[in-house]
Amino acid sequence: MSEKSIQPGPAEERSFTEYWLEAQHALGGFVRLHIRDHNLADDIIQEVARQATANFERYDPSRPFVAWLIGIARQRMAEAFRKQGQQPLVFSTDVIESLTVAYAGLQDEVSDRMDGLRQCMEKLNDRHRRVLDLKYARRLTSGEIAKQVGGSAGSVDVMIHRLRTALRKCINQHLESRR
Amino acid sequence: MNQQDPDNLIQRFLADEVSPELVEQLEAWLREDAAHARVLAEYGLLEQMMVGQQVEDDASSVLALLLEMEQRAEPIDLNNTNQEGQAADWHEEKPALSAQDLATAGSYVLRHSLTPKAIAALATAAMVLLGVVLAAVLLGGPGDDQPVVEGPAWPGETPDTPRSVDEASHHKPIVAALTAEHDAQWRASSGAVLPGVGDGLRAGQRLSLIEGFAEITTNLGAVAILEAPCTFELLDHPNAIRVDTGRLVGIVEAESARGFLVRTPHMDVTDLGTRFGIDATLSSETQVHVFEGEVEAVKPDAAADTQPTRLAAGESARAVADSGVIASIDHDSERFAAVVRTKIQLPGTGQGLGEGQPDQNWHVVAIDGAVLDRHYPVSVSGDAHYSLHIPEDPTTSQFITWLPNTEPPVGGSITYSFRTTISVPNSADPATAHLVIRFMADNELVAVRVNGHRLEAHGGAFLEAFDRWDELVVGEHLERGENTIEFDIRNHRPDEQSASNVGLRVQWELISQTSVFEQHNQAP
Repeated sequence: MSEKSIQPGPAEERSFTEYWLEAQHALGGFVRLHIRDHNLADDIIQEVARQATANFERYDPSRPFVAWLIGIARQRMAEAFRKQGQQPLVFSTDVIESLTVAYAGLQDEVSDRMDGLRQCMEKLNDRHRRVLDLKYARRLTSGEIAKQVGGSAGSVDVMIHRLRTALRKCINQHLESRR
Repeated sequence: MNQQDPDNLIQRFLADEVSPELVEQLEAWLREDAAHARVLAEYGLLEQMMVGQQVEDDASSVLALLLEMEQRAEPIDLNNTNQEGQAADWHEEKPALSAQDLATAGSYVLRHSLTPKAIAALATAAMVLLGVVLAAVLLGGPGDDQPVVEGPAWPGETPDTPRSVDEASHHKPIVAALTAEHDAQWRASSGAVLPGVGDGLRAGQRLSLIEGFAEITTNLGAVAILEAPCTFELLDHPNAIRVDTGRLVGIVEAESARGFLVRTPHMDVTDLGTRFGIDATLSSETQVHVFEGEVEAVKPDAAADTQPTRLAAGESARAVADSGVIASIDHDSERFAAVVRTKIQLPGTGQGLGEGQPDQNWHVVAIDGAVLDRHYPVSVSGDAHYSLHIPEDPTTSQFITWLPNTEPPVGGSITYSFRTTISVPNSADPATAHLVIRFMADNELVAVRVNGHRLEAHGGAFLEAFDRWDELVVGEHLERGENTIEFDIRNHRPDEQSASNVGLRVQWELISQTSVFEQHNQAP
């Protein structure tokens, strides 16, 4: 497991806030990969933060902080699924471990990726930006977005599908250009 | 898998078109190469960044708020904490720093991902204050003026399970209901209303049962039977309870109730669809005894990613103070008065009969799986070699056998199905009912059928010495009322001219566990 993103040392040498600010995006990525409801994902992340803060003295700084957070998040997500009467459809443990390693590795790139996203967003046309705004800021469904921008819910889904692919590719090109 | 597939799988996954088949395909692809996990992780991170990107503009206003607050606030020493791990001066008034300010800013910081610039600015300009804000909000901070009840320290206590008085829980959601009582007497804090059957119980509500039994049913359907003296609290969750002291029997039958959590001072127990008992009567330890199914137990102060201890039916464990170990102990369901253990002695084969007399309780109904045209009678064998080592006893059991003059005209190994019926009374709980069977067979038992369900079972083949009993426990497929039980006995017969008795001797009992409430509710 990659540990380059965390400087090992006693937990008390770094505050929770420092750790949290560094790991929150990777944690959020893990949670949103599994939960499409943005509000529920927000609640899960907040619960993870709450529990992690309360138990911070138990964090073993020899391990990546984000891995610890993901461990807590898995419990909170399982609870949330049970609460909603849903079957928790999650990956197997070995796959979760692989994803945890991947997120620990991505943590150092978050800042550059955010810069890349900002630049890539500027390349989008107004309609595309509006669709993303409606989906991620106003948190509308595809059907609701379709009513505002025209077309069908299916066409909105396809557009979002293509936008995700394009943005990821654009961000990775941005990272390559800076290396 | 071609090059198009992974992207399509990921996009369908992100579009919430999730199915077990999709997850299976995605997992297969993820296992092909460690780099694949990174691709999926990048998409997850993109989702997170997109949410953050859309709220980026708001960050500047939060930063301004934080900086303004920093100018107004006096330094707060976060190291000055009490035993609960909470900032000691939360409840001290800080006029320059309102609770609303802290809550607003802190919630924002937690609920939204700030951009790198905002993070950098916040980290350098307001790191100390952010720490205060985060701690205040995360730990329940200013504005949360619930009084804290005095009580023993709880290892692993977290702020999301505040030890609050009943009055403070009035604004909280109803998470369970009091569904039954038996000779119950309650004690509540001053001013609190004692619960009655049918009353909803709110998160944070803390109650003491000083006499009798009470049945609590959580919103998700888990049943907790509490045995006095017992002090407990409903947690802010539709399927969780905390027992400070006393005994609890958990009954989880509804699928929705799986995952029922019982927190105790020394152990958190999560059910996996089961019946179990928790004994927290001693301050120094907590025990869990699993009657049926499985539970997971973990120390409350264990690291978040600690693998829980899994316990199956008949297994028990305890956790003690000042030890991180959950240790196995002898099973003891008898300690739970909320569970009534019922034992019914069933008639043994040939019980009360003389040699050669037919046993009307038993018949042979099939040979080698082929159902016979009628149910053939069996009778007490009286064969002397059955009693060489363990004498047959007409008061308990004797060998019964197929009547020789009806023996089928075949040789070789023949399997005879001996059938009887037993009655499971309404007072017995079929979920816990099981047959404890001692048997001998000539030549051997190969299967048992309960209401037509075939269960693999082997034993009884003692090279015709018949010098010991074999034992068998059958707990599946039993129902209230009449149950049909069949024993398949394989007999070896040299040829069709030779006589070779088939024999079966059974002594058995029906055991079930019934809660005090189930027993009172059942018709006799």
